[in-house]
Amino acid sequence: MENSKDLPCYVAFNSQHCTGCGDCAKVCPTKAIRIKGGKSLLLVDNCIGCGLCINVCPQGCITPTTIPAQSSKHTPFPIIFVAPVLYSQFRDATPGEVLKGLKAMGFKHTVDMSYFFTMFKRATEQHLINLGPPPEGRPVISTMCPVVLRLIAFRFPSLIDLLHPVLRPVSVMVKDVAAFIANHHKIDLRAISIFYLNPCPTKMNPKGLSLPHGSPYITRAIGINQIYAELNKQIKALQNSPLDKTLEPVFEFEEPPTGKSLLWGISGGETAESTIKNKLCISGMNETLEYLEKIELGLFKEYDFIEFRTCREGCVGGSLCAVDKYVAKNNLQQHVDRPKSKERHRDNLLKDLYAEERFFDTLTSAKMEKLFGQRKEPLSIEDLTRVNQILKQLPGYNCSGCGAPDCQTFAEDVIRERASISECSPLKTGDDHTKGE
Amino acid sequence: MGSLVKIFPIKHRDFIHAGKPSIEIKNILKTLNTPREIIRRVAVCGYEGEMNVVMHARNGQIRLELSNTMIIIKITDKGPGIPDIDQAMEKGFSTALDEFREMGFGAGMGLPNMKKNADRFEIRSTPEKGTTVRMEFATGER
Ligand SMILES: Nc1ncnc2c1ncn2[C@@H]1O[C@H](COP(=O)(O)OP(=O)(O)O)[C@@H](O)[C@H]1O
Ligand code: SF4
Ligand SMILES: [Mg+2]
Repeated sequence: MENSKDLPCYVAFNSQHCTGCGDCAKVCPTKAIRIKGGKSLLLVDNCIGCGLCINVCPQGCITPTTIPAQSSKHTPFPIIFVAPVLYSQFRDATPGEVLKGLKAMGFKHTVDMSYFFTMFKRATEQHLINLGPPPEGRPVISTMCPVVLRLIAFRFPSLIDLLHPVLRPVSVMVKDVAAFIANHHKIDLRAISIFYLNPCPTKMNPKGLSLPHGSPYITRAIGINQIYAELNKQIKALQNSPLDKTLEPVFEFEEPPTGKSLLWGISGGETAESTIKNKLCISGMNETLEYLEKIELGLFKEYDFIEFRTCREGCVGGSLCAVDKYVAKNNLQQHVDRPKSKERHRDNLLKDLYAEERFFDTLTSAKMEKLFGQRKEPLSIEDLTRVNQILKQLPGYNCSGCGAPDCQTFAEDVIRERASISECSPLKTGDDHTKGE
Repeated sequence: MGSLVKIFPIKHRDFIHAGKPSIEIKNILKTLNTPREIIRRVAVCGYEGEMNVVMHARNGQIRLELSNTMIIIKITDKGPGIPDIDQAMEKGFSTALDEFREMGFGAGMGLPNMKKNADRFEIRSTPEKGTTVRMEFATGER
C-alpha cells in the first residue's frame, strides 16, 4: 500500500478512498500517475500542477496542496496577491468590494495582479515590434499560464525558444511589492508573508518558477474555493455597514481593475486590450496539446502571438475556482460594462521601464530547459527497440489494466524497470483476441 | 551500435491524419533526448514532406531511420512525379489547388524549407512513377 500523501508537490493523493479506477492516470498530460497495488501513485517529478486529476477523480481523493486560509491569521503581516479571475466569482460585488472583503479578513494589503499584467502586456507588444514582421521568431508563446510553461519544457522543448523571453510578472511583482510595502511601513522584509489567491494548484510548489530565488518571505497559496465562503460573508457585511476607511486602497496596485483589465481570467483576456491583433487564443488541455504539436511541426508562423490557457475558457475554468466557468464569464462581462473609473497606468512609464530592461531578468532558453526540462531518464536506441518488441507482445487495448495510462507508457515502464510485463492483466488472463501486425 | 527503423503510411487527401506520423517521430526523438534544435528541424521537414504527399501525390509513406549518429527521413510516394524539380524547389512556386490554399497550404515554401533545415537533402522524381525525398540530420554521438 503506497501512500503518497505528504509529497512536496502540487497535488496530494489520499489512498484511503482510492478505488484504483485509473481515471487520473488517463487524464494526466505528462503521464505522471500509475496505479500500483490498486491505488494511484504520483511520479512527483513529472507533475506540472495542471489540476486535471483533481477534477476527474470520482472519489475526491486528490486535493491541491494549498494551505487553509486561517493560517494567514497566524502571521504578523500577511499580504495577498489576487489573481484577477477572483472578481469573476462574484455577481453582486464589485472588484473594489471584493478587495475590501479580503482586507476585512485580515490581509494588510491586497495586490491586484492585473496591475502588473498590464505592464507585462506592454512588454509583449514591444517584444513583437523588436522582432520585426512574422515569421521571425513566431509565433511568440505567452508565458502567463505556468502550466503551459512547464508543459512546453517537459513535452515540447523545441518550443522553448518561442516563449516570450520576459520574466513572468509574478516574479517582478513579488520582489517589488514586498520591498515597497516593507519600506512604506518601515518594517523588516522578513516580517511580510505573501499569500497567493489562486484558481489552480500550479503555484503551490515553492520550488516553482514564480518565486525569486533566495526569497526571505514565506509564500503560500490559497485556493479561491478555500476562502470563498468567508470572503462572501465579509463582503456582505461591508456592503451593509457604513464605510470603513481602513479598507480603502492605499497604493495604486491595490486599486481594483476596470474595463478590459478585468478580462485576464478568461481566454483572450491577455490580449483583449492590446495592439496585438494577429493572435490565437487557445484554452483547454487537449486543445493546448494539439496546437503545441502543430506549432512544433512549423505551423502558425504567420501569427504574432499565441495565448494558451490549459484550463477551459481560461482561469475561470481552474480547478480551484468556486463558481461555474460560464457563470463566471458572464459575471466578468457585467463588471466590464460598468462605467470606468480612472486608468491606472501611464503608457510612457511602462515604455521607460521596458527600455531599462526592467522586465528582462534571466529567463533564458537554457535556464528554462534546466528548470523544467526533461526529467525522465532518456532511453537509448536499443531501449527503444526493446520497447517496440514489448509493444508487439501487448494487446494494445490502452485499457490501463497494468496501471499505466496506455500500452506505450507501460512498455517504457518495463524497460525502465518500473513495471513487469506480467502486470498487463489482459495478457495474464488470456483475454487477448487481437494481435497480428 | 543501435539502429531503429519505423515506417508510417501517408494517405492522399487525408488532412485529418496528416502530421500524425511526424508527431510520432518527434516523440521518439524526445524519448531519446535529442537536442531540441534538431527535433525542430526534423519535425518541420517531416511535416512538409507529408503534406506534399497528401496534397500533390497519391498514397505514400514516411520512413524514419535512426542510428547513433544520424536521423534519416525518407518520404516516398506513388504520385504523378515532379516535371521540373528546379522549378519546384523555387521559393513560392506551388501548383496547390485553390481549395488547399483556402485551407492555408500552398505557400510554395515546403521544399525550400526542407532543403534549408536538413543537413543533407536529396529529391528524385520520375513522371507517373512517384517522388522520393531523402533527408539526413547529423546528431553526433549519442
Ligand atoms: N510529392 C510530390 N509529388 C508531386 N509534386 C510535388 C510533390 N512535392 C512537391 N511537388 C510540387 O512542387 C511544388 C512545390 O512544393 P512545395 O515547395 O512543398 O510547395 P507547396 O506544397 O506549398 O505547393 C508543389 O506545388 C508541387 O507542384
Ligand atoms: S493492454 Fe495491457 S499494457 Fe495495454 S493498457 Fe491494457 S493492461 Fe496495460
Ligand atoms: Mg509543400
